[in-house]
Amino acid sequence: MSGKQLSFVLFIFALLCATQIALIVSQIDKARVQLSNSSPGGLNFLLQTDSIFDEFRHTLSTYVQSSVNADPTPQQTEQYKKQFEMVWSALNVFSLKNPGKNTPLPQLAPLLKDANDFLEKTDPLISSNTPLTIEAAQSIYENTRQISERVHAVGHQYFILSSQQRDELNHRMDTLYRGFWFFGFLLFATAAISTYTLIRANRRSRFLVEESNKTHARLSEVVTELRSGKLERKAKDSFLAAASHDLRQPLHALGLFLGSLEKHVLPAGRPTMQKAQQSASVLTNLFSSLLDLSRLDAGVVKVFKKDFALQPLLQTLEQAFSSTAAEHNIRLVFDSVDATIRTDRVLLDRMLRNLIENAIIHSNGNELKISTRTENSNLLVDIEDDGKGIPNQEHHAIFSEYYQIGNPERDRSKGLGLGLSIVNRLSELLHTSLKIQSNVNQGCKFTLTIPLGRIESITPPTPAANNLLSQDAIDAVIAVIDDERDIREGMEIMLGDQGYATITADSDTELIAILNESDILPDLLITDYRLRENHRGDEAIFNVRKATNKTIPAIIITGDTSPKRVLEASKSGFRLMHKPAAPADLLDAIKQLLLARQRVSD
Amino acid sequence: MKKKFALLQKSTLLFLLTFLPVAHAQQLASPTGDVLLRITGNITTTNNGDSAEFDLAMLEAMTQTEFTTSTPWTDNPTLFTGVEVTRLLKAVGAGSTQIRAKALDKYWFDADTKNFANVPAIVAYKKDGNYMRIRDQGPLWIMLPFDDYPEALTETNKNICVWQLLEIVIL
Repeated sequence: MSGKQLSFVLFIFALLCATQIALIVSQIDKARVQLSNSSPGGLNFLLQTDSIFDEFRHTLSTYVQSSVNADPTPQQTEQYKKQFEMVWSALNVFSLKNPGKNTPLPQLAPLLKDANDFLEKTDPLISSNTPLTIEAAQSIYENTRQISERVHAVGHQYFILSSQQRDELNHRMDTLYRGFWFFGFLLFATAAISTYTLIRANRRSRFLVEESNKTHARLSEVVTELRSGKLERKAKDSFLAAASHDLRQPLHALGLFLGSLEKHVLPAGRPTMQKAQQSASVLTNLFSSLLDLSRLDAGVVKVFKKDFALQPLLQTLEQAFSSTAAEHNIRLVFDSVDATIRTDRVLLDRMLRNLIENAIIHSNGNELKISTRTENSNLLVDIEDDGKGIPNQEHHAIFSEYYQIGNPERDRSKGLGLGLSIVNRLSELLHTSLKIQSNVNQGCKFTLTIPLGRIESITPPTPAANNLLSQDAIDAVIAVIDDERDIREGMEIMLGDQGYATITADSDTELIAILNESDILPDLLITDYRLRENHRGDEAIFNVRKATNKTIPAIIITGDTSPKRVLEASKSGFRLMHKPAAPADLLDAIKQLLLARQRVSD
Repeated sequence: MKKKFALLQKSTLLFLLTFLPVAHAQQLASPTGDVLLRITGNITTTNNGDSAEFDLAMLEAMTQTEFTTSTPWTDNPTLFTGVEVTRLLKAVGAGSTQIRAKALDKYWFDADTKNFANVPAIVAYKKDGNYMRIRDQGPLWIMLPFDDYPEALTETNKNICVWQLLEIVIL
């Protein structure tokens, strides 16, 4: 039943209940009046009156009989006088409290009148000092008999009447009884329906509250997303992913070509060549930061916290930035305490790099001071410049992507404006607090809070790992799968320059065919992630491994920056590199894998 | 010594005070005129054998109570004057609250005075300031102030309002 129908039924029931109550009350009132009228007093009164009349007549008849023989004694006269008084009294009350008071009996009025006449007429005779004559006594006797009979008849009428009234009362009581049952049922039904409705309403409202809570949560989520620019970021991510793949391919190829061209350029062309390489490296850097952001958003960056000394890290930074700082006429001051901290070393390094780089490029100051201090169980790292500062209202905005103060012409040599936004994501990822204190022309101070670590937990770096990178090129056959001819050629030239034998193919099937034909087994496999006809790099590797029946080490190079794709590619478990990969990085990775393979086969 | 005497005096006074009402109640005058009311049954104070008899003078000598009330047996509100039933019962040292009131016309009714304990029920000897004749439901009429105590208007209370009262029997 719907809520409306239920309410209607409830309303009808309530109406019925009210009617029923009104009915019952009126019936009860009638019964009450009837009960008070049909009191047993009336009947007893009739009985008394009858008996008084009898007594009087008996006294008179005795008087008449005794008067025939002798004079009446004073006792006898006293007797009938007293009896007459009582008759008077009885008739007095009878006229007041007559049985037909509420349901008038037709005989009553003439009876009362006659009785009154009789009393008035008889009184002088009775009250007189001379005793009653026999005739007078007989006449009074006769009158009394008549009155008495009429009173008796009225009494009988009253009896009949009260019987009827009693029946009526019984009937009324029956009605009341049934009415009460019906009323009780109605009341019960109403209560039951009300309870049911209440429970339903309660359940419904609880459901609605839950729903509204959910909606509220979702709304606030969306609002937060909107506020934090997450939605914007998502849209950007997908745009970047789509656009950058196409940009990366040529950039990647450009890097490879430039790398291999370097040796063949005449001395006169060297400066131009270097400029070209610089440009390529700036471009590569920009793409790398874009990609970093995508990777951070995809959540593929894993945090490995460990205890380590801060000092070496800062020293490396000092060395790395000394020349850049000199270029920008900024004095770098490192003033740090020797402390052990616990966080992800690589990510912290990235954060500090970005912050320092940002200060060098954008502050326009004279000095950049990196200092540390301990507070409670934390180490605070201050990166403080004395430059133009950041207006208060911009403090929040500088962490947004592509946001740059004072770069309206968007000079790309000053970067894309991603540095601080990467710092911000990293600080969230590391759960370190990043505070900014700055005002216009008063410099800018970023403060990082890093938990202190325990010095005894530091694991010394393995010497083998360091040696690995310093090895020279190794004799090896490298197979390259890429659906772009430019890349294949670039790779071939570059790898050839390094002394590697190269086999290139545009798909895994082609490669397998070549391998079968020439009966060569490659030592390493490099493949693009996104291949022709929706093939993926990891599938290609899998197929080649299956065909050669050998677990060939492999590198996947991907141009995808979309978080989903990056995540997918990283899940494949192969060494993953991003386009455009700098030739040096690629060669490093190749060396590492080949060495590892050697060690396994040793 | 003096103090002790004072104490003795005090206790004597107390003793007298305690027993004076009883002593007084035990002395019931004898009626000189016509006997209007007899109280019999479970009583300790009598003046004629086992019964206590009252004439009009004796009743009028007792503290009088009066009230105006309408009754089922009168046309208009009527002033009744008489002696409170409880006072009468105390005067005769009634051993029970159960009474039977008997009338001249042989009517009688039983009641418990507890039923109207808070209601000053009286044995009235005057109606509207006049003594009542037999034809006026006299000479004595038990009456309750129904107007002042509407809740007292019960069937039994109505029936204990005996007119032409002759005798009260303590049961």
